[in-house]
Amino acid sequence: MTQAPELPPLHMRRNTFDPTPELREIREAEGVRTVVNAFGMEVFLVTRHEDIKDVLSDHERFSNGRPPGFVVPGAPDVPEEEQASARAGNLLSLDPPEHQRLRRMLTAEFTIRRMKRLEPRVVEIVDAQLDAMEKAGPPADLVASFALPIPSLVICELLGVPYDDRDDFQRRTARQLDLSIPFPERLELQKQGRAYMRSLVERARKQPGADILGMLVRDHGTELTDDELIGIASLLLLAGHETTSNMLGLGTLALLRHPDQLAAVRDDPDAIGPAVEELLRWLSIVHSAIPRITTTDVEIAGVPIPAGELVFVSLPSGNRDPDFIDSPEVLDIRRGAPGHLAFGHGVHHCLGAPLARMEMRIAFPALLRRFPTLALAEDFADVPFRSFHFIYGLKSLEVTW
Amino acid sequence: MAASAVFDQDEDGIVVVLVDEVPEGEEDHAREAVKLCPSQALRVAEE
Repeated sequence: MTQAPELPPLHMRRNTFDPTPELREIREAEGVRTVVNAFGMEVFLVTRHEDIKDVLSDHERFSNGRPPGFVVPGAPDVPEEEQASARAGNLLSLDPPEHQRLRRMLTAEFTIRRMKRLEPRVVEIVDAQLDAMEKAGPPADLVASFALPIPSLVICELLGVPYDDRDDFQRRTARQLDLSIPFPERLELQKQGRAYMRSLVERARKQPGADILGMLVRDHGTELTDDELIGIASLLLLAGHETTSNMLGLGTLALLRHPDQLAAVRDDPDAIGPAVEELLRWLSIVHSAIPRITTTDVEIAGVPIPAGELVFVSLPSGNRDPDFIDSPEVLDIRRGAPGHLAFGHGVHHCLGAPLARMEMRIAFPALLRRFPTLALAEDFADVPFRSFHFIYGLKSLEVTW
Repeated sequence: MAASAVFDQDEDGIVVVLVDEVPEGEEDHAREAVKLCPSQALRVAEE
């Protein structure tokens, strides 16, 4: 067993809602600095808004793929064939044109129009969770009773994953993304997740349903291998419930700490649209985009980066760059924060962004209207933040009303 | 959609430009959309 380190790597460090001041210091000094990632590797950390956009929109020089022979220290020795099978269908490890081939098959499922049609069902799901909370009575853990089940239910329905299996896949993905858990265990969880998804893919091959898996089999079944289908579905399942759930939990806590803004979201139907964008910016729950690797010698903010180096872009830092937005440290739900980087940028810009936005626009006001007196049922200092996780959030949130 | 009078999205999620010339009063929205577009697919050709 490896001992869990006391502090997460610098780009993941936060003081409650705020990125560690060290990130600001780098942004104000040279903009790009070498830091050590969770696996002890030296990486280049990019901290300014414009530089981050430059990196994320330049897939030729900043690649999501990994050159042959690239190894992460501490990673178990996995045969190349098995690695390739585990990588298949993972859009985040691909560059154009392979990435575009898969992404185009999925874009139709996440258009703004498609999301509009889904809205009534999401309203039902949200109301059912609120009914259950109301019936059980206060206090409640908002993460377990609201923030996690809503996006989980939605992505399960969309994808065609039985919600009854949630205990297993929620536990797997939560631990898979926890960087304090030893590598071999996380790899084993990934394997189990793929085996589970393989059973769903086999079923969809025989009997394609009305869900995304069924659509992929019907419309693209001959172009996609089983490994690719498994990879796509595993990524959507993970991304669908690990992200929005943390925004719902952390976002509610942020509003509880800013009562005037909470009241606006509760009472003014026009407030929620810009509020969601500002919460996305201010909370920036994804610490860094998928690490890029330089394909050639490059220069960012005047700092030379040789070919073959890992580049991390700090999304919270870019979203709190005063060259991007005024008073970046202040949460102000009225401004809407157009251009924030919480969903990334470039060809990998979050496919599920319209879904995440829609879920949040429905869930936050519904929660606050159902329980207008919603309040913390624990000291703010006792709220457990999730520090070692690839995605920032709360382990639980005790509330009352 | 940052400029719904100028752009739409088709059933496959591809951006559709609705007009040849940006209508008066929509210039700022259109420029905003170009700036925000994550796939950087949009450009404004100035007269």
